[in-house]
Amino acid sequence: MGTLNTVILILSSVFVVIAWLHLKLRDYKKFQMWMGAVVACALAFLVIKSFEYKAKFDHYGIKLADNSIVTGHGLDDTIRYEGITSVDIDVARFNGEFLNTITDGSKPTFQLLVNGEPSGDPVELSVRSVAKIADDINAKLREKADADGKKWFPAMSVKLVSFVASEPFAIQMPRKKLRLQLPDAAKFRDQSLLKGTISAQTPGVTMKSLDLIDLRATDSETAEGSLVWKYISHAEETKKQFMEHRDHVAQKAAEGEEASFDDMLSQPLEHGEGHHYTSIVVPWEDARLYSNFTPKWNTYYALYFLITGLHGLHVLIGACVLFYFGFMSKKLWEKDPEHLTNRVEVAGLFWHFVDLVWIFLFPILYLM
Amino acid sequence: MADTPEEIHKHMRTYWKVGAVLLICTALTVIVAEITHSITVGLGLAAFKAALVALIFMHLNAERPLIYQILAYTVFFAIGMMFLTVLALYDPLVSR
Repeated sequence: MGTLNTVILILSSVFVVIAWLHLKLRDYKKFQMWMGAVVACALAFLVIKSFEYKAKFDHYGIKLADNSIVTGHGLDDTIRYEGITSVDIDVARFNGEFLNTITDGSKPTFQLLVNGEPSGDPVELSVRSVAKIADDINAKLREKADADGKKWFPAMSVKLVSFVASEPFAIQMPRKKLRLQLPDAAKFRDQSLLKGTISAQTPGVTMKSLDLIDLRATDSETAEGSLVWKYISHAEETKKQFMEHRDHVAQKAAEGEEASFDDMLSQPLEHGEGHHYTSIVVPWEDARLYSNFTPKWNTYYALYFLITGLHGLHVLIGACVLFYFGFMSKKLWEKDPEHLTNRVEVAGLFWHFVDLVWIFLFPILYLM
Repeated sequence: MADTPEEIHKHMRTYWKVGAVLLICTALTVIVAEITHSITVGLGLAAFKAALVALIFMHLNAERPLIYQILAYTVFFAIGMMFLTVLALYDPLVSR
């Protein structure tokens, strides 16, 4: 796809000078035709780029606790907590997010905990009802402060309220939505803390089909000791193939043939015809990092998206400018053709430079 | 640049030829990358292509000396910036 895009940009660069020359020949029809080709090329470039981005967004990697890496498709980080009765809420930050993750159709009611004892009527929690409860508590605190002859400051208001649910409930959401995931509690981004246990249905982060196992950075003593083999499906068979290939490469290196370290410990997995899909379930505590192929995953993707993103933006802007000169500048053409010719030449210079930058980006980002 | 129709048609042929050379170089880059992952060859070909684009498409070959002088400075800084990546070797996360 990178090659196709290089070809498209080079062609558009040729088209833009051809269009300009037709303008010099005072042939407006042909000028418009070539400008149309340039803009079409620019759009094709952006469409291809968007497919390229999409493929990266759908491609995932998991880094295990021992720095072994697997990549592939179909990542699922749904996590389920069960048996939740206790909820702590930060009243200033509460946004009701956890209420939307309650599953199994249950709609629990909650009682306020005062000095560890449930008190008051059961209420349905919402941003509004929590605010009201906090106001009530603050009013009482203020009354008490006044009665004690102390001055009241807003900083003295209640910060944390605890609730107990009428019956145990379960929550389920992507692990990513949690601020903190503990074995016995889930903390949301608004600091709501729910105590419960992780369901056996969601033992860890799962990936449906692996396409690469990379043990170059593993902290395990040997590649055989990597955590990958503990959690992968078809472990024995895959491990055997992996080690056979590693030994084969090592053998080649020992015989003085060209062989690379990368080849030994970073191996693609074959699947498709006659092969099964290899999947993995990494327990939550052993998944150090997981992400799709975006800046979070590694520095390469950070640079890739920064550089190609900025370049793509320049392509988009250039396409808009060339479109304007090609199809919305008829009046200027009739008034002063030389003026338009000059404009197109300068816009062309910009366009060539965008192409020139891509000429360097292509080998650096796609081929090496 | 002369503006007679004959001259312009001549330029047009030149541009098409340059375009063809650029495409051939692209194919060459891809083929070379399949055989050897040499960064020197890849960037060398890219530099050649970039020179073609700059000199011919951007008419740098017909520019005045002043433009070249300014360009020399920018090239100096552009190459200097590439060497910033050397700093990565002193990254505490990478070098132990």
